Amino acid sequence: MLHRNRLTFTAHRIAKFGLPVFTVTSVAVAGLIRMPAKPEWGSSYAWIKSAADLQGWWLIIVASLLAAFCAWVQKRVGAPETWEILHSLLNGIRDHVFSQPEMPDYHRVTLFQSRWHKNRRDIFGLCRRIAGSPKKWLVPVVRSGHTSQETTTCFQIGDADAACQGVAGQAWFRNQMVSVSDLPDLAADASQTQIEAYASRTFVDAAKIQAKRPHARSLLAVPLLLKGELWGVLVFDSRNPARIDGTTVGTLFKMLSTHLSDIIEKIL
Amino acid sequence: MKGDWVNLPAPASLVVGNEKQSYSLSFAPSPYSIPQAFRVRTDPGSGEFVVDFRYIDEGEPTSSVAHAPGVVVCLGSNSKRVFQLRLDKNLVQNKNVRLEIISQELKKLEDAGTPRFRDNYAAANSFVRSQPNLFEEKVAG
Repeated sequence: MLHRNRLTFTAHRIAKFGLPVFTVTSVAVAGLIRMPAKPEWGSSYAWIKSAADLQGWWLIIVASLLAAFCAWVQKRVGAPETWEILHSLLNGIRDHVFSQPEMPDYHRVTLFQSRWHKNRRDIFGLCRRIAGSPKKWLVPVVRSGHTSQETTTCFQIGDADAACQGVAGQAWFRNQMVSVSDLPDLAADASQTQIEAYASRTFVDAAKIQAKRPHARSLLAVPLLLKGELWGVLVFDSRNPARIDGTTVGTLFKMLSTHLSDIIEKIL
Repeated sequence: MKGDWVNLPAPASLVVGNEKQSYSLSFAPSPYSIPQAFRVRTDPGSGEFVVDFRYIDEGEPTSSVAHAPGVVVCLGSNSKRVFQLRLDKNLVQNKNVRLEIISQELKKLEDAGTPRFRDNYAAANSFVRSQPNLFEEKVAG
């Protein structure tokens, strides 16, 4: 599933509201503790002041921790507006590379991030991270257009060529642009030979291809660097079997790489 | 002497890969591996001969490595891309050999590097070699 969904955006909204609330609470309680007792201000003030003196330090610690947690959630989830900018940027990249979109999502651009965990249920992801395992996953985070936004297609990556699945995995492993075109049309009546040909040309298991029957007839994957470190892969796919123009993609990267990196650093 | 940045397109010969008849599979250097520009200058303080490379992304920390006697190479800490080559002034008294020394050092890096980084050194070398006149002009200027 892509990163943009209602649950994560709700978490961001709650964190956005909680951060100032908890920050103000901890500052106000600290101020109250430092305030001198003022009997002339009435019984309510005296009660609040005594409560702050007795339990205030605990409240400050809890409120500060909650404020820090809210800040972490905001950073981790990313602002919905920034996600929308990234989504629009991918749409713009798609429309520039593929000049004439013939039907909705005939051509797509998907951003994959390299992660230790495949999804939220991948409990071994944390273990792999702690152990520093080379086995990671390229996980989809944003896709252009509005269809197939619930994709769960991930590609395994690792230290060896054979451990890297898909054109995306090969681009990540080689740190090169990888382009495949003239792939077989996997319509409902596609033969086993066509499925196996598709699988071998796209570096994916035939069983996976058999199960999902992808529509893409041409693919191009570009590794994405953040401060010189391999961060993920941008994958272009099209139902048109013609080769995707790598030169156009390269030129586009020259113009947009800094912009793309800035947005990614804000939300991922 | 402070040199100007020279912007150049990636040479077409950089595209590597294989084309098959039944379908097309090709590999090409990542846009991040190809220098976007380079400049040649002389460090006014040390008198060293310096070649800088610039890439499409920014912000990568670098570290300097003594690559050979009189040659210091500045590589990206993560990507291992070459950002700078510094040649001792005694090495480059004869300006005709400057380009050769730089090219040789980049070739050495290419030969010693892992496949993942070779594109960068090859691109930088090709970049410098494709503009010998401009290179010499900058040195002379």
